[in-house]
Amino acid sequence: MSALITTIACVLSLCAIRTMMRGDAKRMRVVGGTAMEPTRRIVWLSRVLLWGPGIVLAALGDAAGFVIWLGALTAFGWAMVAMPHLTLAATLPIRRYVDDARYWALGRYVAVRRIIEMPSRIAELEQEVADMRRELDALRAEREDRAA
Amino acid sequence: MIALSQSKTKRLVALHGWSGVLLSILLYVVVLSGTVVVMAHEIGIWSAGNTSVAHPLEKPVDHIVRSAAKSVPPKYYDEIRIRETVNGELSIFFHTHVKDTDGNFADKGIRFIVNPVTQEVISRREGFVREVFGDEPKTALERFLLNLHIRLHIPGMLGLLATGILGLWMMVAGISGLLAHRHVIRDMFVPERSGDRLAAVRDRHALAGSWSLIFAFLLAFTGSFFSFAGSIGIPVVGMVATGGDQRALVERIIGINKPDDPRPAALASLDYMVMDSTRRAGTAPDQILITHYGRRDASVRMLHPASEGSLMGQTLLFEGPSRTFEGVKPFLGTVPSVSNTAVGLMGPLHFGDFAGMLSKIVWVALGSAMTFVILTGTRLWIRRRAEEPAWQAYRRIMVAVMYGFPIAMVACAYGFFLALPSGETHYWTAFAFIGASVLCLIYGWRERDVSRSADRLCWILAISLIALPLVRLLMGGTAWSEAMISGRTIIPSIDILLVMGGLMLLRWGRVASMFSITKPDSSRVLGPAE
Amino acid sequence: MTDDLALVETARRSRFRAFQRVRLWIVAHPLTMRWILAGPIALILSIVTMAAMPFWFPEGAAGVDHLAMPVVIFPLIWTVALMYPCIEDNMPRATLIMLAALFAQLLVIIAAF
Repeated sequence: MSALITTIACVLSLCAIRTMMRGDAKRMRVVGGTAMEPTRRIVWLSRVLLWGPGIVLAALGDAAGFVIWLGALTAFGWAMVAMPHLTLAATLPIRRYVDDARYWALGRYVAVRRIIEMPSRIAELEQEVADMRRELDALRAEREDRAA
Repeated sequence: MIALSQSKTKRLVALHGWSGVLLSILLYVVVLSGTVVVMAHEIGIWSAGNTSVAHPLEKPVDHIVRSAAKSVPPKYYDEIRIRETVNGELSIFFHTHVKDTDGNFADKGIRFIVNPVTQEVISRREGFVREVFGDEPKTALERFLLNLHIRLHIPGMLGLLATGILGLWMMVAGISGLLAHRHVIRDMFVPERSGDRLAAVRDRHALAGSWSLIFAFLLAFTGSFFSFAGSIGIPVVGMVATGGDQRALVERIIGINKPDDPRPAALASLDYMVMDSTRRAGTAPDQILITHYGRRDASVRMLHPASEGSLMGQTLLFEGPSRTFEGVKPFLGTVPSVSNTAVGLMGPLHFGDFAGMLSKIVWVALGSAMTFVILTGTRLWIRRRAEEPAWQAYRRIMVAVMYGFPIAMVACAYGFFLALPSGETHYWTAFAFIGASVLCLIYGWRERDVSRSADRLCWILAISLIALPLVRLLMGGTAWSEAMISGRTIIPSIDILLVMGGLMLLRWGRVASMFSITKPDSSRVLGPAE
Repeated sequence: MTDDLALVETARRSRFRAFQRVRLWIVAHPLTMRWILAGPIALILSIVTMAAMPFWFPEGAAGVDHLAMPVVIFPLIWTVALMYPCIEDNMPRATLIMLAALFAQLLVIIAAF
């Protein structure tokens, strides 16, 4: 349980580092990308996300978790800042899983929607068929009238 | 960040550079081997091929200890240390404290290794602690790597002094780097500038250095504490506090001050005390210490590993003959104190072994980042002196060491596995290490084209990493299926990590050799902080 | 340059000629002094401080702090003693401070025995 909380804390803070990294004007000058001017809300959110997990771990009295959090922050944070391409490549399998999971979920969602909607869809189709039949009958009647 | 005068900054840069470059090779060796031995215990299990997860201390041990004690002369009843070996067997060491032939304090006694299931005695040896523990063939690899990190294989106190001074220099380099680099916080997210310019090399070093500063300082400090405590600290304090009697000092600090009572008394059931201790601490003990076995003043200490969420382990104290619980024993003294916390934190903060795999993975990452800082720093130094022939020679050596040292560490694993059937693992592990180092150094020195030698050595390292698991299996190492069935997932995990490491080196080898000192470049770009 | 001349002048006028001569030598050889202070003097100072600490450091609740803490902070003492003369601009002051610290700690040890 403690390990899970610690891991979540590390992931949250690393996400914050990623956001702060993208909004850092000096970094963007060096990288040559367009600096994303972060809104005040984003700045505060990332600050809270960066320090919050550590404060929570310390407040919980989880000394081991706090030290691991600090170590992971400095080691993996550096890796993210210094080697964005490599870290992106390292997370590729994870992102693929996430994408797969998203498509899977979308597929299930669509299927379930279809099943739920089926009666109304059937009713709709039946209505359409009835309409067409009526139209057809009207046409036939017209033709017979003309022939007569 | 911290405003210093220009002359101060200049001196600090000189201190930082010279202290780093003079010891760069040794620092690299100690830090990289330290990164590897974070996993020393796992390497031990992997190399010994141990599939037993018996946890002998969770089984009844009382009967085993009692029957072993019958064949031991009472002079060794002073202290008994019971723990699990790397092979999952029970190790019982009956000993007393004497002075060895060099006049140093040492433990001497009889060590039993017992199969915890069948209770059959596997070995019984008498002698000094280093004789009875030192030369088990299956622990050769783990011990070799540990000794490399702890004392660079320099015998006696000199080795500890050497690694202690290296830790000290790392602290000095960290502080001087922090003071000289003026924008630590502001440049926290700034990656290196593009191109192979000098400024890019400096950016890379400064960025890695800034991020790893806290733990570099912490690891260097705790490491030099471990080195200096035994070699300088305890002797000096012992001289002034207890008139040169180090044993008395240690006993006073540890705080065992029970009145002597040599009247005979039988020890109560160990199994009961283990059970009681496990219930109180929440984890099974990983070591049991019995002092004054068979006497009325016998006491039993149960050493428990750190429980979830805490950094330090716990020691529970029991009265021997009556098996009553006497309380939690601090490391130092009899009641909690500042120094107890300080000393107790040293181990977990240096070894990173307080939360299982999670903390170990983080510690390996920290060690890797620090290795990177050392390499980029050396590279920066050499780039600034691209026209000076002496430093170009140094560059060749640095490339040879950068790849040669990991190659030598892998080579000693080869030596270990190939020698396993003959039992001469200690000799061949060391032999393979020295042989590989010498070959790499000679090759690196003779090959004038640094980028070619870097590429070749990188290739050799990658291939030897990939082939290592095969050699292990061919020499009768534990098969994956066997390891998985017995729950030792660490054995296949290390195999997979080695192969993955090799493949990554092959794939990113070009990138990796870029980290080193490649193309000689005469364009000297001077940035503001030079 | 004028500073140096002024120093020479003070030295000539001073009653403590020997002391001033040492001071002048230190001012004239800052690099040598830094090596001496950051090298052997820093090592001796840190060892002597560690040896003196059992006599002035508080014992703490368990009565072992004064014995254990010197061993714990010895690397830190050495680091500070090594870095201080490298940072300090005024070498005579650095020499004075380090030697004073050294003698103070030595006095503590001598007084204890």
